[in-house]
Amino acid sequence: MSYHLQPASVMKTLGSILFILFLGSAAAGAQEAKPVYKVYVDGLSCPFCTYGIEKKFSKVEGVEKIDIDLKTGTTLITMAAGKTLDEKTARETVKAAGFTLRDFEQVQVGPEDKGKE
Amino acid sequence: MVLQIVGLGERIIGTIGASTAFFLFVGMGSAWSAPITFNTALPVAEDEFIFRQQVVYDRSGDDPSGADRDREVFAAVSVLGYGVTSDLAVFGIMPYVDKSLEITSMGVRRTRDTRGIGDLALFGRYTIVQNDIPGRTFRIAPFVGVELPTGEDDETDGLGRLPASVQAGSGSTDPFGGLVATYQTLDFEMDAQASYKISTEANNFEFGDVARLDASLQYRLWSRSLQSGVPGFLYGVFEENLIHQNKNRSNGAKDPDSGGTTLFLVPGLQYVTQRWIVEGGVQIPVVQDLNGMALEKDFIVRCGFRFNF
Repeated sequence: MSYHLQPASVMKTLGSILFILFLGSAAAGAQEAKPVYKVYVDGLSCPFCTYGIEKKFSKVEGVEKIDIDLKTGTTLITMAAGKTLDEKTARETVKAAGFTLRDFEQVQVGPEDKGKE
Repeated sequence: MVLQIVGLGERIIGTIGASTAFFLFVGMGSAWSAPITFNTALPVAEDEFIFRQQVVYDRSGDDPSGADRDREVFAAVSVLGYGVTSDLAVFGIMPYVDKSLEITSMGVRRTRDTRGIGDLALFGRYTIVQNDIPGRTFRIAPFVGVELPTGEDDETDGLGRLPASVQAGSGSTDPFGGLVATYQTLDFEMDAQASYKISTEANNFEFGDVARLDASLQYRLWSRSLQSGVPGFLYGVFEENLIHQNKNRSNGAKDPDSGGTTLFLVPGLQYVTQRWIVEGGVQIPVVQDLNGMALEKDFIVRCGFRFNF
């Protein structure tokens, strides 16, 4: 017994696979999208000082990841899915660490925020 | 002969040892990226702790009296800082000291020594000026504190009671205060401090008050260009300590062989990361204008680490 693959059949199968993969990745992407905020901190000028910022933000509810860039004085705060960070909390947290918040912006929205758009 | 040795011993540490605790320890109260030999105005985060440990070797041996005096102090100094608020920080400084004094009198070489917990210093620092801009900060913070008589001040040896300055503790409660200013950028940091300590009487002995003017420059030697994230910094450090001490008083009378003014220059290195700092420096006396036959300082070596937790 022998099988002969028809080009049209192969293309159809591949198309189905690609469509399923696309749907899967889109769904995963929607699940992984988490709110990310950029916090601009004034007065931050040595590596040792940055630990206060990291430690204070790590105690804020919902904060999942903290990435500090000393050169630009910015801190990226990634929140857990479904959690948000408001400017007042960010300002108080930076103040508690001993520094001054200059600016605050959301650079990635979570799925719950997308629904509000 | 014994009285002679004891008497000379009392005078010996006049200029240097009389202010041992303030001289060696209080100046290093801060645990932030900061000068090696004194304080800083940089913040301690609210409700957070920082820790600093320093080992100090202090040697004096240039003796104008002809008694060939040699004095050594080893000290392990622990500093714990706590941020009450982002503006108010409190510090505790606990030294463990090992002091020895060698002296030749009537052709006999004698050693007098002691070791133990020294005097605990507690102080608070409050930031009154804070000017933050991107990548730099300027701050001014006064501080006040007290040195408590927690160290043993009644040790004896075969020659009798040790001189006050060889004791691990002073026996007196001594207030102190001052003002520190810091300007820090991503490339360098400058600090300046003025401070004063009032010594009180204990055991019929009173160390001379101490006034200090300190300055520090820390310059980033490496990495030359800033990387992203939080890279480690290697700072070259250059500091000065101008220290004046009044004459000691013993039984109400001033000791003419104590007190004076010393200027130290301090080259050093610091490696600073986000969690820890290692550092070392040598205090070299370049000017010593001392009273009478006060023993001159050779050098002070400091090395240690700081830790964020």
